Amino acid sequence: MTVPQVTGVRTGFFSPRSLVGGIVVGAILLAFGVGLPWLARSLPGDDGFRAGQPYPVTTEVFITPAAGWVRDARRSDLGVTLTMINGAAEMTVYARQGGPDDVAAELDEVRATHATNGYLLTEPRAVQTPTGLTGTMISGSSTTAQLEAYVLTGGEQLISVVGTWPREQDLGSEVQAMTASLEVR
Amino acid sequence: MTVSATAGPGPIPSIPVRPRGLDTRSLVFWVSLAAVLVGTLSILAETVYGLVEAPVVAAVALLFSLVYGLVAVLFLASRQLFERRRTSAIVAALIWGGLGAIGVAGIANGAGDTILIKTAGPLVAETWGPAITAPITEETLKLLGVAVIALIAHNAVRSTLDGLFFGVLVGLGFQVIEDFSYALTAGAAGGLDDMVTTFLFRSVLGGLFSHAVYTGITGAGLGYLIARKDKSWAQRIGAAVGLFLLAMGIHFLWNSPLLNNTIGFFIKSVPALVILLLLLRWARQRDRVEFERVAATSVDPRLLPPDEARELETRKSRKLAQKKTVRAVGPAAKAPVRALQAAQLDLVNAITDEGGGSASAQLAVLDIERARQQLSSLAARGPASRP
Repeated sequence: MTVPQVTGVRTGFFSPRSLVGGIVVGAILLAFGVGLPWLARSLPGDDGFRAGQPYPVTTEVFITPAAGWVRDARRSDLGVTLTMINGAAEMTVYARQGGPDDVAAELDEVRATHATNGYLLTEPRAVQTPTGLTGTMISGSSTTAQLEAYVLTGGEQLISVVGTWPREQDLGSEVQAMTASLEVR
Repeated sequence: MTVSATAGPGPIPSIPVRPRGLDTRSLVFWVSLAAVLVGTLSILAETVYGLVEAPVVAAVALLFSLVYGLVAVLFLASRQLFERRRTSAIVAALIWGGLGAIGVAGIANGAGDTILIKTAGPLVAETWGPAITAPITEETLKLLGVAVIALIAHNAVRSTLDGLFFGVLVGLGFQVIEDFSYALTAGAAGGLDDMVTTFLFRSVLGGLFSHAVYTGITGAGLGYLIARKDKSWAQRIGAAVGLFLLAMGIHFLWNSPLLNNTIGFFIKSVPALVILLLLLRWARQRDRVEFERVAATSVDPRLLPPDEARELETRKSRKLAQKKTVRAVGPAAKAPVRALQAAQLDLVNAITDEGGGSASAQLAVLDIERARQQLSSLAARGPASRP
């Protein structure tokens, strides 16, 4: 007969299990949560996001930023979404697979989302970019901000662009220029 | 009659009193709590945009995710064969995955992407970033959750199957919040339809091949490392490291731009699930052997006779035994015979975990005696209790 023996595992804050385990777990968390960001900041170079140079939203969709805009790393998701900010202005580009048949539904969703946020929206207008993308756009205004939203297609890509900027910051032309720079490669 | 839990005479070893829930006196607990807090703030910072911009979409996405997670947890809990794992450990695993690991991984992934952008350029980062960064950060942080459970929920990870089970739970917590985040991002940009499409694709279609599966594989390796003291260190470390690298490799392939078509989807996904199911089968077999060994050598046969021990080995044999008793004694016997089987399983687990003299073992003995008395009195009443 063998009764499984319970090994005398010591518990408590100062037990080896607690201290060694806590230090190892803490070290791994610090390495990922603090060490890696520190390394990222310390490395020379930048995020490659420069005015006038095409930047990948996904591997197929590129946008050329205007001067003064920076990539919001926290709200950009590699391969899916690119969010750019310039002061209180924001411009988000979201790309996925899709075609002309998806434009109307996508625009309805964009309209519904922003209408509930206090924007008075215009009727959709057809647009075509110099790079050959086609689709529709709406503009809108609220008491404090202005908005332009585009849903574009080209090369089996469906691209949503939403730019918002405070009334005191006249950035509509920059949002339009950056939207016009969108290209599918 | 009161009988001892263990077979035969002999002194019962002195058993140290240990916490049944989480060990809140451990430094590991407090470090983990700090990670969960940081992770929660990180997730809130990442999702606040969607929460503010599209509150309805966010509420629906949250509801979908919570229901999905709850159904998955209840399913997993119902599939436990030989032991009922503690609720505190199950909740801790889900919280680690869904708040701690994913929050810290979010910070680390952002940093990893920046490193890639700076060293290899934005296009390379765009193409390969998710495949390179995420498997390293996410698989490590999720596996750390299984280690944390092993450290703060004593005896929670005592077999390969335990490691696999808690790995699946940590991965599930991670997956539910990650899917919520993706669905919210899609919904905030494209509305409710995009949110639902993203949820269906990621959670329903991809859910069986995602984080829960990866961490189940790595957790099985850690469980093997912790539990299989009969194997050499080289074998145990080799198995743990091998399974960790395997899961990272599968995660890399899933996130990579390679094979992005329908056939590729199956090539990238199905093997992970097959590997997990093979590990599950092997680990269950091992648990069954261990159950048989403890039942045969360490439990008083008056409490768990060999034929009843055999009946406990599968769900099917348990049900058959229940039906047999009901046929013999009457329908009123169903509850006591189920209680008897549950108490017998508790007894084997208590002896394995804490020894035959433990309070848990004694409680299980009392439950067995109570169930047997009920069955005896029902049998004595004879036909009256029959339909």
